[in-house]
Amino acid sequence: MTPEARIEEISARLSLAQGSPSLLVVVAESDATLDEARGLLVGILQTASMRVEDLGACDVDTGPARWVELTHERAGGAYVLSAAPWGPFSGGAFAGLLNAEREFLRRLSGPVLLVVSRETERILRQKAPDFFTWAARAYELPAPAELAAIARKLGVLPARAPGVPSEEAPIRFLHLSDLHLRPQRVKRYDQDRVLRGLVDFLAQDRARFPLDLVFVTGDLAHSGKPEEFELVVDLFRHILDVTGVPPAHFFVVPGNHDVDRDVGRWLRRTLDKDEEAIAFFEDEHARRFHAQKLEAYRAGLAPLLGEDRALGLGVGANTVEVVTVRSARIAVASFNSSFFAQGDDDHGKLWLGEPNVDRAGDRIADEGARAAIALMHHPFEELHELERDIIEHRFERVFDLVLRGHMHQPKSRGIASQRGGFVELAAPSAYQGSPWPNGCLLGELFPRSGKVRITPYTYASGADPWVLDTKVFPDDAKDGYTHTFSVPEKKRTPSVLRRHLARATEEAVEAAPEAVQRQVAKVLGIEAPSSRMSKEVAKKVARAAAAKVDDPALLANVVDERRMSTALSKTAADELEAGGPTRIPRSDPQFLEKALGRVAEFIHRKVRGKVAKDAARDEMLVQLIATALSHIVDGPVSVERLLPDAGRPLIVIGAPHDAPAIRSVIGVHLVSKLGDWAHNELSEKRRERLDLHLESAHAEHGALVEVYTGEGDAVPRIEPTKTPSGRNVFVLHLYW
Amino acid sequence: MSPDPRAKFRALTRVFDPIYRPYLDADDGPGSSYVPEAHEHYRAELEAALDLNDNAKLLLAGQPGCGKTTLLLSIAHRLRREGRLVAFVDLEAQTAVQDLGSLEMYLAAKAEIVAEVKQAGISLSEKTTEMLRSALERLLGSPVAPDLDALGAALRRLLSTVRESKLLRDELRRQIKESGFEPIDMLAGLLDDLEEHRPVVLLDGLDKLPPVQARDAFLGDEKKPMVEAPGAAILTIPISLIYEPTFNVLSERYNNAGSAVLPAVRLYDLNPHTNTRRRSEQGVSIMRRIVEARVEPIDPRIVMPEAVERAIVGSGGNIRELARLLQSSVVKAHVRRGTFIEEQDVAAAIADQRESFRRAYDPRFLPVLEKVRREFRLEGQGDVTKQLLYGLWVIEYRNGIAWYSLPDPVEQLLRQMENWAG
Repeated sequence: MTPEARIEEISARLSLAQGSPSLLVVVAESDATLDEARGLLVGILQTASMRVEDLGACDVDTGPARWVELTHERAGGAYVLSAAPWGPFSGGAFAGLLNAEREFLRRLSGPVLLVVSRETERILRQKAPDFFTWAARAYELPAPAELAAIARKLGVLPARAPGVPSEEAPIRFLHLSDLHLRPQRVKRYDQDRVLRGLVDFLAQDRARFPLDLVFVTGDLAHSGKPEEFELVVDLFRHILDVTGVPPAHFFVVPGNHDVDRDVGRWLRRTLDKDEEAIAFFEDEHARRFHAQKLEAYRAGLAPLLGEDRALGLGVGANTVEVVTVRSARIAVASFNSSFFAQGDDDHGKLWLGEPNVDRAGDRIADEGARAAIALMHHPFEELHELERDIIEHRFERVFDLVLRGHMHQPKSRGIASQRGGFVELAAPSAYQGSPWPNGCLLGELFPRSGKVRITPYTYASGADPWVLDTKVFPDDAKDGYTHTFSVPEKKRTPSVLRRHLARATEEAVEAAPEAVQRQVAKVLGIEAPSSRMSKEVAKKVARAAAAKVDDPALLANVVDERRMSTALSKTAADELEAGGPTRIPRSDPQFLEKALGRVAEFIHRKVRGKVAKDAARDEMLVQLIATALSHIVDGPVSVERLLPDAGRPLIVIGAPHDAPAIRSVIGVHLVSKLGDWAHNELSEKRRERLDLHLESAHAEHGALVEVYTGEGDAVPRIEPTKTPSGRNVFVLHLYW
Repeated sequence: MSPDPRAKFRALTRVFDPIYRPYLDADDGPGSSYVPEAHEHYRAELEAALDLNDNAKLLLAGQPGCGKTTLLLSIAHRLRREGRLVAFVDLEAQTAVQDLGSLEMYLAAKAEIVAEVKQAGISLSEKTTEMLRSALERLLGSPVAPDLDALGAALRRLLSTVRESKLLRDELRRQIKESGFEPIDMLAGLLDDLEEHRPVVLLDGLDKLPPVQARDAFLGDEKKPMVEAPGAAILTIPISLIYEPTFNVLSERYNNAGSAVLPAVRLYDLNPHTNTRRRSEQGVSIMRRIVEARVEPIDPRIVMPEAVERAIVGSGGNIRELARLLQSSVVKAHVRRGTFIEEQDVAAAIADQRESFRRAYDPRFLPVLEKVRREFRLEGQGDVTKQLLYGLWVIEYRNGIAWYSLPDPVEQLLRQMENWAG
């Protein structure tokens, strides 16, 4: 059965069994993804026409007796709960409890879906055979990624599980740097000993620490010669073998020892001006000779890791690769800091390229990656002074993790600034001869909770050649010499939205009265002449303001409502038109619910947090949602004032002569505070009015969109509800 | 045929749920949809033994889902109508069955008897009441009034505290051991007092004892459960005991008690001489009756006869499995937007079931089982082998017809083989 068919069958079974006791077991891959899987499953099942209640994760010392109470309290059509007994001992006790209390299952008020891991299923089958034979059916749950795909197709976002979120499974990575491999006679044995030890260590560690990603930040070879890269490829192949990491999850950037210095001898050593940098990084032609310095590097690695890989050879958007690890999208930007590396006097001559970093940042924001990692060889200090600070600031906006090498010294720091911030990790040299320290870093990235835990390892030439390095984090003895950094949260603005907001800002500032322009100039630190402002200066201020669209507060003060509304609507049009899924036909009886789901997803992912909360206006929201709907639903979408006395415009889907079944009316409301008494009162009034509107518009489907601008950063959700006269309508709760 | 088959499908889903019990729908005991023929032979045997001997102790074993509890409940119903005092003790509901001591077992039996006595309006002799009262006071450490209500409540309270906590269980057992007090004495006294009502104790749930504990309880040197109690009793025992070499001795201990291995309904008769099997019309018709009894009140035509046939073959004779299969078929028909349950729905349900079965069992078992079958030439060799084949795990599964939980003897054999290999 395909995952969709399985889900359809589960849903059909639940809806058939509504109101009578029944037990279904659903088996997920592992306990780590159990809560996530349950959340997604509930979200998907809720799209069917029955009320599915999420009972949450069940305590393993309560069994069917408690389930009976819960199902009677909640009074839904069907119930979902998950159970994760910890370890085999607790599993046995849990199984015993379920078996003993199974008689209670007959008193459930409806069908219960029990989500367990495969391991728990095995224990239950073995230790609670009777309980298990009482289950109507055991279904295999599709993997979380597949579930998420189905959820997206249905237009639902994952419902957030109530209660405490479980600890997320980390993404585990290895960070290596500075191998300096070369065919050498004298130290051949030494090099082999250290690196074979590393491979053995990784092989042993695979069970305890299964790697998801491998990063190598430069200086793989010693002088960029093909015979050196043969050794590199050989080592990497071993690492891929023992770690089981797919080549697409193995990232490499070049260092100063990977460039062939013979090729570079006659090329420019550096750039002197910003304009030159723009030309160099935006025009491939300008880079063609410098790129040749890395020909041996490319020829060696591309066949192993993939011909279409970035490998630090691309610029701009091409530096970015997005990989999915356990349903988390991780963007990795591989930067080449060694375009101008040549001798030992590289310091201050290197360029990373501001446009290069900007384009990479845009791509990452557009991809909607959950975490962004930058790889480069050199530290920021070695970059040209003209761009050193700018590059670092740009990184603070975009990246969560910056991995580098070069100094042969482990160094790590977390930066938190007004722009965001990142954690910078410098790996020690993986091989520089056994008398010197040789090391590597193992990291665990928790993208959801914004943490990264680093465990340093070092070569120790004993029976166990690679051991925990206690000297890197000596203060963290109680955590086993590992350190956990917090990664500051980022506001990455998708490039489409940024473009439209920038245009709106520019227009607004240019059209603003001079006093406002002066104020903006002051905020931006631009010196305005004391006399009358010239057109040129005003343009300059406008452009500078446009570049600051990531700062929502500034926008709110400058850009008026109409322009903001236009910018947002254009974003919706661009975003939803480009490569979005096919439009929802109105013949689908659930078209409104599905369409609202997609609107919610768009606003949640692309707009939320990018526009100041106090800038939101009713009319703007109506415009935005109407534009979004017109690109989601197949059919005319208009904004109308339906009742003469009602000042508030409504969104109407469907032409006037269409049948009521394919027409719908949507009211949009701004709500500043969540959950207070007055709000409930108002919400009741709104449903009453919606009744009137549905009546006058001859529409069958209705919805209210409530946009909260107060505190709270929750995931949007759609609730079915009833109007006072008994119509079934939806309420979409959105958070601005 | 009504225009909306969905309502009927909903009703079918309910009656075919493995949790559903037909007699729960009936007002009084097993209702019209209970099919007594399913176990008629065994039932007759057990009832005859109880009729003839007021002190009979009977043993009952069988796979999960083959109808043990249903059979016991139906017997209880019959005996009550005859005017006998019947205590149906559901050990699983009342005790921590994974760690069951004789004390809790007898306490649960007493609680059930006291409840029955009260319901039947019988009064206990003063001597027995006093004995119960003083014993309970000692165990609980608080005063208990000498009337049936108070005694029943005290028993339940004791049971539930002991059930919840392993610590309290151990403490109580230690106390009992030190006082030299035999847990069965109290029960024996109670049953003696009720002799004129010909009491029968049905102990359901003993088959859930963990294998090691079951072996200790029934085959060890300890006193066997219920063996010294007066009155009649039926005990469910784990099926693994049947295959123990000392099982005959056990039977003797119980005064040559009748024992029944309740099988799944037999669908095939095996001819040991020709090593062939023939479809058992009787078995199939029992299964058909079971389906009909559940479908008829809803709509007798909604399940196609071929579908029933296919489901019966697929169930391998296990009643709960049959119900489960038909329920899955209803879902399949619903998803297909059909109006009848057709053979194709059953086939799809069987395919799914087989798939989940394949996943649930360690695939290493399959070649090993195949090897066991080949090397031990299991076809038609004595009783144990017949039981093995009865599960027909390897053969039927490989033919894709039926499936089973792994019968315990096969599992033991596998464990032995693994030990030899290791």
